Amino acid sequence: MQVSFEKIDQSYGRQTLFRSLDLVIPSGQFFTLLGPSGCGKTTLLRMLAGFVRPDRGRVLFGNENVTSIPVHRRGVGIVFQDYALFPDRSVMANVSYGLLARGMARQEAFERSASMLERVGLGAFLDRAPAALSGGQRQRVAMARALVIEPKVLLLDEPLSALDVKLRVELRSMIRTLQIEAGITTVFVTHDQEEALAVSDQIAVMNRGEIVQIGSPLGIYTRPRTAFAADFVGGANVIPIIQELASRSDGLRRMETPAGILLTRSDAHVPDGASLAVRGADISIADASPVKDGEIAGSIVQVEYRGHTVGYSVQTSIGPIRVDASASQGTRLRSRGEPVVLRVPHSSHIVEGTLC
Amino acid sequence: MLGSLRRDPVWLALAVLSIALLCAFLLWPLGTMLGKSLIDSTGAADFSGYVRFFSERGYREALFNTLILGGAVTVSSMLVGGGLAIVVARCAFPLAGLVCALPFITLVVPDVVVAAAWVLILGKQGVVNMLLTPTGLQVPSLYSWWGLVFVMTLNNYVYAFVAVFVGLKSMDRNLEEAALSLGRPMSRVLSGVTLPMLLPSVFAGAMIVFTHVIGSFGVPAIIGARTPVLAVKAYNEFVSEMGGSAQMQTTMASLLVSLGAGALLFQKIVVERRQFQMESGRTPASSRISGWHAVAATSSVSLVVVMSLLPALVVVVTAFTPSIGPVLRYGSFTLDNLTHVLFQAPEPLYHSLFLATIATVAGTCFSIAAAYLIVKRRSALSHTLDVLVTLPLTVAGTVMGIALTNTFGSGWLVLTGSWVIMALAYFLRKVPTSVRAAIGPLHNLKDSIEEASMSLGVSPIKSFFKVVLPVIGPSVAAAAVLMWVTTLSELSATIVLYFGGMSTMPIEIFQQVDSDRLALACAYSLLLLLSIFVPLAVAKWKLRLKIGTIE
Repeated sequence: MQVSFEKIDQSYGRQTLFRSLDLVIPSGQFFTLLGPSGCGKTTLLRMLAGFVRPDRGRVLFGNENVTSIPVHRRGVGIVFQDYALFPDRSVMANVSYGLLARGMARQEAFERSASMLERVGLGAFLDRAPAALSGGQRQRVAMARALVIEPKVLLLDEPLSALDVKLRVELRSMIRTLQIEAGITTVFVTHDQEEALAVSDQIAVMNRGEIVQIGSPLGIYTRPRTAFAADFVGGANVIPIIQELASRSDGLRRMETPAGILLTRSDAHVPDGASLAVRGADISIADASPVKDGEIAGSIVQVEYRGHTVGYSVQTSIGPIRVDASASQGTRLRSRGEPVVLRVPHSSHIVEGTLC
Repeated sequence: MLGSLRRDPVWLALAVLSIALLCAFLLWPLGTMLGKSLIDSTGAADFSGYVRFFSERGYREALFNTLILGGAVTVSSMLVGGGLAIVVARCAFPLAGLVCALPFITLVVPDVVVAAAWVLILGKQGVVNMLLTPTGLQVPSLYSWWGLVFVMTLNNYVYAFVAVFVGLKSMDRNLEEAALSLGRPMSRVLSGVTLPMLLPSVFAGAMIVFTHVIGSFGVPAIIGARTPVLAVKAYNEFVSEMGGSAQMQTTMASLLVSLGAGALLFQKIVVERRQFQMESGRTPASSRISGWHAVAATSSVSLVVVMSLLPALVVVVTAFTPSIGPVLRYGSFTLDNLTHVLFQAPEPLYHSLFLATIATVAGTCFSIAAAYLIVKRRSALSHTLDVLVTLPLTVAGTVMGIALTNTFGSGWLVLTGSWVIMALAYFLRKVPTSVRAAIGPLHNLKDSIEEASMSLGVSPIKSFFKVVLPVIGPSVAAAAVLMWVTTLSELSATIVLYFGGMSTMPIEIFQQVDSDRLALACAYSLLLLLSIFVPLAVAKWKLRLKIGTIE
């Protein structure tokens, strides 16, 4: 089912969160709202659920206006960050709760719940109390409880953030598998870019109540449109552009920045107040030598060895720049204080805005 | 103003209804009372009541007596209860666990029974004086300052004990360890780190004791004839309706309310502002003591427990003791007293049970709704409700009684002289505690639980019954039992409100003591103790509810 927001206005006290926000989430997609805390992603999710009613504007499920339909008649499945399992009910009672509330016969409700629990790998835990389950198991129960009612829309409110890294990876692939099987439009809220990239069909990057960019994970990561998206999703270094200078004879464009003149192959237009986004993994690091166009001098202030890569933080005239170098066998680790030259790749992007 | 209530007609209606009820039956009576204190016998509005109060020695004395008694009992209760708490929380010694029984004992043995029992033990014709007769010695009269302070301390130290004990137990031992590791000696750590963190608990305990004492009626009425206090004097003015003046009783009642309100404000403004958010970690370990320290600790704990249990024991024995007039013949045995209270005059028992049940059912339903509104439906309305339900804490029982009779004695709603007004007074007096009891678990209940239920297709009101109520159920049930048993022993509002056909057990006890029929008083006391103990015991050990425990 396609889900959409139309001209949503929302404010809290004197603080305006959304101003005329529009968003369409296509049917059957795994759609992620990605942004830092306070960006409005959870509010949007709660509007879909019916917990928050917009000051103005409409929420549509398909063509139906559901704005004034209360939560319990919307038919959405929600997985909460803190699981929200009913503590006084068994796993089975939790999962069958929604079916029984819909007036389904006990026998059928139990059978459906049991088969759903089987699918999330909890077939052997039907009679357990939630308190006797591990965090990952509770999350599976919450998932089963939300899916068993065959919701029109599945809403996931940071469902993995309370789990450790290994479980997260395991559970997110389970969630994705279940979602693809059920073909349910799913809205996933997270602040973890890696998670968002891994599971989504589309991602909407949000900042301060605005949707900054919508696109596929690949598109968002490789072609961020704004400085915020480049920084938040790609972890890129964002260097403000002062002005564009005459291009070189080989076609590379020359950008004047506080860090010197940098080169790019991008053919994007340079709007006012634009920046260059340079991903740490694309920067190469070399021994100190006189600086040419496209290079920045600096010295290493921090070395983070991570196994397959090394993260360097390099102090330059415009502050620290992050560099991720690959650490294949035999690479020499540079040491703190070492003067270096950073070669900024020609693949760097022109993005709107600066980081402030 | 309405917050999330706007889209919740059922809860909105409940909020409006609750506030309307409290306005009609709490605010209006208190307002009426205050108004009457400002109107003299000719009907003109002036401050002559207050002028007369402060110019006549008798009234002034009652105020000073109230304050002195409040101060003295607070100090002695803090010394006994606070001292006990510190010793038990930080030291390990034989029988230290006995203190866990103290809150339970205090619940089971009501004030009026304690007072009656100490009259039997230390009164003029009391057991101790009887034993001392051959020596020619006499204990100093119980009907004096020391008697009052002694008995009221025994009635109140437990509140001080619980407050300080919980304060000590919720302290994180890492704080003391951090201070020690930063190079402070233990003595400086205790005075510089531990004590300041404990002060809010100490003040909280002291305020509870103080408000209890200034509002208390039973004990000062029984043994305080020579030291009149406001609550008793207002009552006397009330019963001598012909000679007494409506203006003076309402003036005294209003002054008592302002004392209570003052104490509550002090607590809110001065004490709560100093409260710290403490990460509850591991509590400081208690250190084992031995030798004469341990002997002293063990015997003081045992002494306190015995002193608290003694009234119950005396009451049980005396209930089976024959009497001729005021003279008790200990050593002999009779069932006459019990036959009398059980078969000849059992009405007080029925009345007490009936009224307590009505008040508890109404109070519990109200408390659940009010607590839910206060915690989960924050809005200006629910905030108003929060303030209103706290208000009865500042109103002494006698005052509540006077306010209610003065308001509902005439006019559009006449309740005076009916059981409704008694049940109403109980309801109002006990509702603050019940609301607090329901608020606790509601705070711990995550909003998402309810939201999950709604998202699964269950309406908000049904969700409340299906997922909220079961979770807070045990605490609410415990609070209900507590409300029921404390209502059974209510005296200070009852004494003003009861009428000929509707006396209760505490009233009987009070009147029998007053007319020196101590054996009958004890028979009623035994009945009261049992009707409190049995449901408490069932709730505590059979249903495993948390009642009369320290946390």
